[in-house]
Amino acid sequence: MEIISQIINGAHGEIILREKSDQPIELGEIVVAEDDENNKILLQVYDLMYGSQLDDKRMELASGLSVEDKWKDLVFYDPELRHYVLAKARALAQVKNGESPAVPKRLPKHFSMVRRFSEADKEFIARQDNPLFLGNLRSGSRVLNMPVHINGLEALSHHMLIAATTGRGKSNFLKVVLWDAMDKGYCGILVLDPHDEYYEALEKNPASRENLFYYTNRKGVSGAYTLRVDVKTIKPDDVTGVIDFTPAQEQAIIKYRKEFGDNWLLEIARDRECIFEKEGVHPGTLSVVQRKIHTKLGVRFKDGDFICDNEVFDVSGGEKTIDDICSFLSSGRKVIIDTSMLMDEAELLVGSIIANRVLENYKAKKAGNRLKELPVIAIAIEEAPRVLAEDKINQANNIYATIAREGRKFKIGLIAITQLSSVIPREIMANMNTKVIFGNELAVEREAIISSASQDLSKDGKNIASLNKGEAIISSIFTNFAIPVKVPSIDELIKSAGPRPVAQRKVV
Amino acid sequence: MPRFAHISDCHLGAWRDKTLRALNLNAFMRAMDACVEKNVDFILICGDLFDKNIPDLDIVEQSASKMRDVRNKGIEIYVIYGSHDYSPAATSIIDVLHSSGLFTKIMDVEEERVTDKIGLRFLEDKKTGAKIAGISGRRASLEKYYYEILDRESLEKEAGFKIFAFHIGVNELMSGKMHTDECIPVSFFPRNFDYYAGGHIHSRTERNESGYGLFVYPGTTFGWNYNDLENTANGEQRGFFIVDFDTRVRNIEFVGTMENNVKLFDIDADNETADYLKNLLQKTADENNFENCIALVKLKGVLSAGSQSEIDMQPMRDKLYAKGAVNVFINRNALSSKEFSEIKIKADDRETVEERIFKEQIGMCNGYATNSLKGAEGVETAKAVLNVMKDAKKDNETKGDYTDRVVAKVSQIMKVKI
Repeated sequence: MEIISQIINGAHGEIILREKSDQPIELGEIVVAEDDENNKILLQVYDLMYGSQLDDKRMELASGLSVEDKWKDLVFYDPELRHYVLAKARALAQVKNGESPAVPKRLPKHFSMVRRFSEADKEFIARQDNPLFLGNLRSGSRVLNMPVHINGLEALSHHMLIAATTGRGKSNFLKVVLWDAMDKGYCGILVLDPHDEYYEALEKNPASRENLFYYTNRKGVSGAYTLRVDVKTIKPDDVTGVIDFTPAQEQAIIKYRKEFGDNWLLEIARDRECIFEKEGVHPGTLSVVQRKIHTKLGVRFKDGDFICDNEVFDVSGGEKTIDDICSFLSSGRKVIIDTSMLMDEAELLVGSIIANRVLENYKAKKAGNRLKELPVIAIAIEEAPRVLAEDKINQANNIYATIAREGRKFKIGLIAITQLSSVIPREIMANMNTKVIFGNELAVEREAIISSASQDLSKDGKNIASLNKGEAIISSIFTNFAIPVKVPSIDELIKSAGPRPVAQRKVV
Repeated sequence: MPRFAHISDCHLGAWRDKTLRALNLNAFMRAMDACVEKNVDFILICGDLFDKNIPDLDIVEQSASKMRDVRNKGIEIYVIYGSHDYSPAATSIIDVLHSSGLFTKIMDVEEERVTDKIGLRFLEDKKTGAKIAGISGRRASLEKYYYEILDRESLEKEAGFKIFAFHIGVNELMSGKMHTDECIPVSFFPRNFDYYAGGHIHSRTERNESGYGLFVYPGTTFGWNYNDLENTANGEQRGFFIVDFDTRVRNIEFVGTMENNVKLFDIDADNETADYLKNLLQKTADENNFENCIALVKLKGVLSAGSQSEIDMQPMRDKLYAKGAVNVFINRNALSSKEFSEIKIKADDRETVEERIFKEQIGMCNGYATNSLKGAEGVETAKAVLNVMKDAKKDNETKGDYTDRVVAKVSQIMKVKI
């Protein structure tokens, strides 16, 4: 194996390597220091700098002579010995005699030779149960033929954060995860898709016919289910979790719920007399609740009829929708809901209804000691600060915050996608036990992620800033170290899968 | 204005009980009479006209005679198979009656011609010009596959008043009770039809689906099992639709077919004794009017003392008949006692009980079972085999022929050589 550098100096967490002149090292590159006792220590470069045998004054003089044309033929004798690159690296993992990787507790031997990481070093990438593909191992910008998996069952119930600025590959990453998870029964995944961008790619997956369910109000999409929710399936907690109501308004809602059961929302919309006025519901309060229900959900009562202004909420159809979705998820299927035609609150409400029902169902299963046999359910939500920002998490009945805090006890996790990690409180960030970190130029955003990562990434600021599209770092409590990956484009996966097989005829 | 009748799920030949079987047939006869009386131009039957592919011949004879009368009055009858009267293995009575010219089977998917995509031909009703296309029901919802590869575009392009006949649940129209595996989403249907005439679902449903058209299920004309009768007692209407149309649907009218009331007596004996239940039954019999009704007595709960066997139902039955009931149906499936707790499966009807038992048992099948014997497919296979086994020997059928017929059907279902 070709030597590319040597350990010359440093301390734990800051090991200095001297680069071999014809073997340039990249920021983020993974290298291996090996000694004659069969110890292999994996190092990752986090900073690069120049080194020279000349002191600064001499280098400045030499440069002056050159750029000012005073000494045209200026050359350095043995330049590869006099001038070189120094790399700062930190130890990621250690393997001895082919055993499982462990966190290194000692320094590699002084002057150890260092070589590049290669596919032969596969022992550093531990095999996982319930493997979920996250990308291919990346060393600097070099992509290795080593797929990186995580234990999907564990990772998805412990929440996942996908953080990046626009255009760095967040959506592509989720598509790749869904593609890989498509036929894996250990996880049901719900995607609230505000840009309607997932189905087109994922329906090309060979296993999509049995495992992918797409809800939309676009017409003519063969095999798609109509996104229609019967308003009678909505409970007060679903609504109060995503729409702001005052305590008086919430009290009014509770009164209608007690009196009219599942018809509470319709009866609020219908009531022109304020039937609970004597019991303390002010007509003005009712009027505001009616207006909110109208503007946010589109439900109103006019000329003796209930009218739903949007196609999603319905007074006489869609009774099965929520139950169906919950059933798909709890049987390990993947559900995409096209919310591109919905207002923010309506989208979050649909997610909230499903999340509430899924959580209720799984809580009941846990009480009956039957949770083990069920798959984990993950709910993917774009622009996560809409529900997980500081001012949102303490809102009554915010199911997303509830899941972030205690969902893992019930095998329910969030996949939170965001450009603004900094507005998500530390308490919630700390619960996101797998972070997929894409490139980000904003120091404040990097800092928010670094400070809550599962591994020490305090020196990775530059590394994160320099990540190209599709390059990411996976920091997780389920990996031995923060793993750099290159996420393949979903188009590559589609291409390599070939055309989706035609429907199989089932003859009974 | 032209008009047609949309009927489905008559299940002629269903019910072992002779009275219920006759009442079921009677509901169909009433539907036919109403069609004549209301001057419909044609009748469209969307599956499960009969309860089996080869039903008892006396039922066939009586219903065929009635349909012949209707035909003789110039009313065409169009039919698709349902999940009950279709058989992949054998000829169906639908084929026989179609060949005899009694009615016209809507030509849908010809099994041997199915390739990557299937196109359907329209059948045009000569009197009204209405164009009908459709997909029949199949066992275990095999037709899902056909919808998936249906050439929708060519159907959508056709001009004129168009009806699409089908025999499957449409997910968006179903209540929470219907399992999604038995349904297809509305997006599998071709768009731009004026009327989507459904069968298979036993409850009346009408809904205008945005971007498609009017989807209608008339439900069953009488009912096929205890659940259907219970739903009738709970207010579900039984009958069919008459549809007025010209270039589009102008009006739809529901016409009832039930001659008798169905009354449900839901008796909860949970934590009560067998003696208490006996008294309760006596009181129910004494205090209610049963004249000309089908009486459903549904017992449920866990008896705290005594057992079900201590309760002799015959006196109750006799009393109800004496008070004018045309039929008495006593359902004890959901009744158990603490003394005899061996009943683990509780359900309202035999089919549900069978399905649940299969699900439970199939869950125990491990490595040796092939995929077709596991999971939902395994349950469907087991149900199909059981249905074949339930099929009684026909009159004039030799024992040997009967055995061969059953063995052939079972081997086809299980895809094994026996």
